[in-house]
Amino acid sequence: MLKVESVARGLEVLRLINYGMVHGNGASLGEIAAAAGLSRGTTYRILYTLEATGYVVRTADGRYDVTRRVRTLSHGYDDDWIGTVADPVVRDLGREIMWPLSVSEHVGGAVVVRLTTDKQSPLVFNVIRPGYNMSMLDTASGRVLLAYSSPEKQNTIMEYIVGLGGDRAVAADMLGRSFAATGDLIRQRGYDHCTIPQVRQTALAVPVRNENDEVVAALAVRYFSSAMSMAQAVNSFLEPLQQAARQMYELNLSRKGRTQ
Amino acid sequence: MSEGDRYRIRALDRALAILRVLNQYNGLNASELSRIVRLPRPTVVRFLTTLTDCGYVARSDSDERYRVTPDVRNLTYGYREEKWLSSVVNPFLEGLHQELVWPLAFLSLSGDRLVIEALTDRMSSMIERRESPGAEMPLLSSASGYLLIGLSDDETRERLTETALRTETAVMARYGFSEDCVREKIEEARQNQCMVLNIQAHTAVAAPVWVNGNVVGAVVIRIKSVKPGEDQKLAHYKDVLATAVGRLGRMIEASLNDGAGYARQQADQGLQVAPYQ
Repeated sequence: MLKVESVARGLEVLRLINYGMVHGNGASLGEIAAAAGLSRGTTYRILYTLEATGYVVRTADGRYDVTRRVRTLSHGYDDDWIGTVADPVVRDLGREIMWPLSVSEHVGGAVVVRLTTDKQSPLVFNVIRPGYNMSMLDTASGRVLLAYSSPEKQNTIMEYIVGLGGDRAVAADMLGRSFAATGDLIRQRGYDHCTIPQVRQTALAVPVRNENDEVVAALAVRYFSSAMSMAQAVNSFLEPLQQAARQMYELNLSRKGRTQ
Repeated sequence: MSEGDRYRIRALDRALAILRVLNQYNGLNASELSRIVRLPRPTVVRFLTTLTDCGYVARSDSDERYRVTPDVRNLTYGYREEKWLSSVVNPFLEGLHQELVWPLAFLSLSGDRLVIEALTDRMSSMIERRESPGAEMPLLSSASGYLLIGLSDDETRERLTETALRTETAVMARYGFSEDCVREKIEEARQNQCMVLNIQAHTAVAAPVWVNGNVVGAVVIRIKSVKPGEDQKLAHYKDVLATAVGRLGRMIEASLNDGAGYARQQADQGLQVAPYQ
């Protein structure tokens, strides 16, 4: 049985020790117990646990300090900009365009979908969920992300995909194991489109920039290949997609301004 | 189990372990988390609810995965990073990372323990799971462990080797390393002043950082793409790393001698290392 309050109390004690280190020289058992409103016995058990796990150390004068190990509790803090900034923008656009939209990021040798409007779109044949892992070289999103990576990163990713073997390596071989020429073309026109023959769908993707002007995600729309020609799709979707990407960039910028 | 262990609060232990794992990934759902921490899913859900109520964890609407919130910094802001790490080592690793793309780390020995002091995992989209500074690694699980044991003085080397062989049997079993094999690797690292370790699908290359005649730590690069026989590619990473650690050592020396200003200036100018042949 989980004692919920012992977790909350334990984290509160850890927070108080941090506070004590910034505003003085650590914290004593008595000070922590008083500030947390806990008995000395309970506080002792919490401190014992934190010390045993290496997050806290008792100094020579009997006070408590945090150790460098505490960094493992906060180092990976990820700004969930896709959930906060991209989500509302993409949902608005989804209501306008109707076809399903997605936002994806690069991870390793693949593209991972972080956000989709598949649930709200009436025009979905195969539902794609967040967490879905796609090929880098045969998807519009992957190719856009690769095109806007540094040459060093492009080469490293290509080498990695070749090393993985299988279908994805075949795609790399077909490009002559270099993405430079394709990447130039994609950057020139500012988008990529790519047909997925198995599901008879085509995707059109544009880059999304963060507050430092780095391309960190791809925004894509999927449609049935038979519904329109690529030229028609570019004509109707490119402008709204680019506008949404620009809006996310501006929201990222203004958010950065607020947090500084 | 020691005498005092009855005082230990298991729920707090586990909550901290879950927070640590959430820090290693950009979003996990309860099932993914339950597989990683090896606890039943309902238990994990209760912990996530508690941590969410405390404000340290939030569930994203867009991908329904849990992430730590900015509030986790309240649990750690009392810790002050050593100046030479933040002003010299971190900018150095970030610069080198732009060129090498795969994640880099700087590790050192703290007594008998191997500690990650700094790393670029957060910048690298090449890997899914990210390590954290301040984390301890088993000596025998990292290329830097073998290298730093190998380059210690005779007495320390013998003591660390014995300690590792005695306490890290689980690591050795997992990677299929015998005692002789561990001793060979340590000796190899000592002679080559460099260590290449192949573990599962990863290859790690470690090079020592010398400051005023002592080894203060090692820089490690972790690559997923090197296959056995690709000696040329490996040689490239070894060359770049060897040049880079020389430079890092001089930058640390300079920062210790003249304060951090000089080293920061060096780091800001960007790092020029050997181009890919």
